Amino acid sequence: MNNTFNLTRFKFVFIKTIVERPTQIAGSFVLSFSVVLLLYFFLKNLGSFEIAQLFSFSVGLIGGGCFLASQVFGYFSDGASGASYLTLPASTLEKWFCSIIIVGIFYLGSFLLFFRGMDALFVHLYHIGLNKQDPRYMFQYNEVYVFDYPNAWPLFIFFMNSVCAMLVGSLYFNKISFIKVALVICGLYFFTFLLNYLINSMLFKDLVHTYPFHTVDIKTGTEQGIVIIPGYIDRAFDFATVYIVPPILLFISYIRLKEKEV
Amino acid sequence: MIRIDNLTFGYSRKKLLYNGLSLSLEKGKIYGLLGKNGAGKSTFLKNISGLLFPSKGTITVFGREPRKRSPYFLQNIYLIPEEVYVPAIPVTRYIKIFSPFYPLFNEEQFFKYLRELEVERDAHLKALSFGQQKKFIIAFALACNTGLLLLDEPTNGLDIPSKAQFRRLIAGVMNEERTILISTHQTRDLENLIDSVLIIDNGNLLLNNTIDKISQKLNFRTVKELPENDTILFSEPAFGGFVVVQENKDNEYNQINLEHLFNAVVEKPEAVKKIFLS
Repeated sequence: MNNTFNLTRFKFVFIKTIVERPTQIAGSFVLSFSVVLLLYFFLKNLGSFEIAQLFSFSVGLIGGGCFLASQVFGYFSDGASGASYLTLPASTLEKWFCSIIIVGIFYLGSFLLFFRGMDALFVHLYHIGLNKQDPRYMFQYNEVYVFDYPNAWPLFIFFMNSVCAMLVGSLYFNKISFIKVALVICGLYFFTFLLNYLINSMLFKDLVHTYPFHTVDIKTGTEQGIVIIPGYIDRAFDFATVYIVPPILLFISYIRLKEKEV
Repeated sequence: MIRIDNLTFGYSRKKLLYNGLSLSLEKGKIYGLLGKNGAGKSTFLKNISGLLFPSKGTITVFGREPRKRSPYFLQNIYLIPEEVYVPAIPVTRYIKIFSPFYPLFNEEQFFKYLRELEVERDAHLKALSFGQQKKFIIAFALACNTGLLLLDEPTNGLDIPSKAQFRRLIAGVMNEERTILISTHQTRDLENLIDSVLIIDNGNLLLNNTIDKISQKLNFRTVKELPENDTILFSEPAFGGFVVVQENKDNEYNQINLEHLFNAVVEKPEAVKKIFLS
């Protein structure tokens, strides 16, 4: 039997992972979907479909994904469970790949399906609730459409990076890894923004606003202007966040699992 | 079967638990690993099973390096830690999802062991007491028929009848292809069960000998008065006098008391070493 990857053994690992902790995995899905539903409902009722869609989608995709990612390697909170996981006769690649599939395919797929279904239902209810005799009917109708997934591409990039970071973090922090890694990610973002702001404020006198690798807004007299950053920087940043950072983080998580001791 | 060369391991670089430990364990034997609390018995088992990696030196089990944790290696070993882990599922489901990983798993044997250990086959694992969970894992581990079985304090949490059942089971499953290494500080649980004794203290292997050899070399007896010479390796007041451990100069047959052996070896390691080298 192949010591690196065997399809039959992988099937056993997958079944074992799902059947062994159904409450934890299904619970994470249910929790995430419930939060999304509630958020969407309340924000929509506050008056803005657009905000409800964007915010609940971000929370479900990134927050839910990260929460699940912190659970899939959550065997190391106590020694006995960690020992049982690491001595299970399957290769590191099979165990690792199983976790990646649960977060990257199962969760992502079910969330997108759930969100599309929920969103379509609410939008449909909105559309049929409109008064067709109202002169603003067409305007009101066209104002609300289902959330456009392709336009949410930056959120998918954020999902990939944060989930991969959470997978790595959960293998470094054995307990409450979700909170610890979330703090590290927030700290890193804060540091990047701060550093970017400090560098830009040294370069530009009347700095108004700046976003790392993206925009620099400055005040020129009474007007506000944008310093155009060369396109290649933006492209390089996008390329790195899609094709370089996530694969590196995934590779680190694999190596960390391989070298994990309990 | 298990070969350890120059094993160096410590949880911190400054304080090493093992420094240059070398030994080899043969198949077809039951080894008792004795040591004080914190002597590194569990650490030793974890190094053998690939849960911890040596800082220096090599370990090979069935010719493979445990740290690689290859499936072939893992399906030939089973480690029962002191605190066992069981998922929140029924016994029958556990068998369905975990047994496919062990090619030599025998379901008939498993239910037989479960019966002998008085664990219900229809039970839900989380509903069992700690002792019952441990007995369940012991039954499963034995039924996996792995070449190497590592047991860390297996009798902790077991009641008195279960300890006897455990000893009977271990003795019953032993064959020439199997090696069992039992780490414990409850020496009485191992009496009449083990073939060889390993004693570890302060990271050093103080003793690695068979029971036969130990009973040839050392004498365990009760005397009314302590003899006035320094040949006594260990003594302790007991009913009717003193129990003593001495060199077995007259080649008398005697029953080994593991607790007294342990104390003798830990208190006078050099003297014991000298006796075994002679």
